[in-house]
Amino acid sequence: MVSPVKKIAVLLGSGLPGFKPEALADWLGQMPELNIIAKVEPVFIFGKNAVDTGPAVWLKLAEEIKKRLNQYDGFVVLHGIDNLLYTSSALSFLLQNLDKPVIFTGSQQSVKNKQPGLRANLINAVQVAAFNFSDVGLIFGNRLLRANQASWVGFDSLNIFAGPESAVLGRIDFSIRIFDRLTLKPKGQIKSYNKLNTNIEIVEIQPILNLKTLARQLVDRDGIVVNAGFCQNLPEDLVFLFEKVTQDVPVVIWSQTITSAVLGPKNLILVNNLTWPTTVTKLTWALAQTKNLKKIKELMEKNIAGEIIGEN
Amino acid sequence: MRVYFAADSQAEQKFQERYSKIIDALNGAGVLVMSNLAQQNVSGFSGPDLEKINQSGEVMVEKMDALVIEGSRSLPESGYLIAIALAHGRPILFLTEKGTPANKNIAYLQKDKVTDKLLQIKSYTDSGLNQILVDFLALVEQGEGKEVPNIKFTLRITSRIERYLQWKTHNTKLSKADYLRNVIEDLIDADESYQNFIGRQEKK
Repeated sequence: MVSPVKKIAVLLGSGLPGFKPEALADWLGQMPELNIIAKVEPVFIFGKNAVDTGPAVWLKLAEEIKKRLNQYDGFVVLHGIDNLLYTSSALSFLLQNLDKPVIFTGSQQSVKNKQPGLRANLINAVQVAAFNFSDVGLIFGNRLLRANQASWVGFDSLNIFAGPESAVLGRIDFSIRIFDRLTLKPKGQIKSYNKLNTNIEIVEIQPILNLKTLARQLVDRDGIVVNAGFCQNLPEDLVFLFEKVTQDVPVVIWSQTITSAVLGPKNLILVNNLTWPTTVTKLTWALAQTKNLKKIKELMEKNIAGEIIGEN
Repeated sequence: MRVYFAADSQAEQKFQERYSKIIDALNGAGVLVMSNLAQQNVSGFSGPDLEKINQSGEVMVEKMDALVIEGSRSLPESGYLIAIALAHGRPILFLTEKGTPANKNIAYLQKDKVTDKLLQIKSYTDSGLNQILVDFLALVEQGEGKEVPNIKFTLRITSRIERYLQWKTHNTKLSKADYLRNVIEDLIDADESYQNFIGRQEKK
């Protein structure tokens, strides 16, 4: 066996069930088996519950990884399940053309599944992060997924996240197999971004929608994201609102079923090939680049970080 | 019992023969062996079983009772296999041919009292290899957690047997499954041929 030469940074992106954030270094030290895979070093980013993570944590995480890009061969981010998909997809936009892996993992602990799995997940994540490929992925159970195409599917199995075929970057049986043909290939220099525009409104389509209140909330917003889920159409009053009240503001309609034919106003941008968390984080990233409606639309439709489902 | 055996598939002929000998010795001891050496793969899992394991999110090491690595020749994934086996509490036997320099990374693991319980590092000669394997299997059988039955086994019984089991366990704290396990354990202990076969001497 060749002595480990890869250096992996293990970043704590949020608190974890039953885990003391301040004890990260000690906890890693109690796993001597990690050192036969790679040299791991802890980095504390955020210690509160995962549900408390947000744009500030995403930006800090990106900044700390960027600072260490030349010192480490790969990165593992420990993160609770709450908001994990937001954090990881945001990171894929904040750090583009990465030439190293950034792998999210955590614990599947739930009431139903008493197996925490953190230790095993961490070992898998460190092993994957020591491979030579570039992507922001997540690993739970026996699958490595591209984070910005993944969805949470529940605790019925240890694979608590799933994704389309284009998102499955690797599998674990007795060893870890990375599917090279599916991983991202960096195009040029690493691009890092240190801003997100969070001045957006998130609207859920539902029968009880107070349009007067909504109209007031939408004033001064730079962007709107509408979760239309499996609706076949958009409510007429809502479309009227977007057309007349917020006509210069990009309105991203996230839907699995609506076709562009039902979209009238020019400021409506249909998204049906991204996950919901990725749609939200991508818009906050895009709005930080430009406020031009046409350019926002181009960015939302462009495959920036492998996030578009079915395209690879 | 299921064991995963890993070795360098590119090693020279002398080692390939030795790997076959190890697998034969394990098979001969009643062990099902899975291996990274492609031609030596018998897991006892059916296709649907393997698909179920895949869907459940488990890794195959979790389904093994132990890991054996022949580490005389460098095997890149051995570090990972050892780490993941330790994470799942599986005993590991790391074998090297006598005269091979000690692997410092692995030897270092034995300084940790938790990993030391699970990790056996043995230097072997051709004549002593069998005994090392037999001793290791005995440890695996007796190891921590082995008291907990975790291998699913479906057994169809007749109504006569069912009636007997019901009668035997009625008003006791023993379940029918526990009772049957105890009966089989007693049979194993009493079977001299088997005890000789696995090389263990009963102390009376």
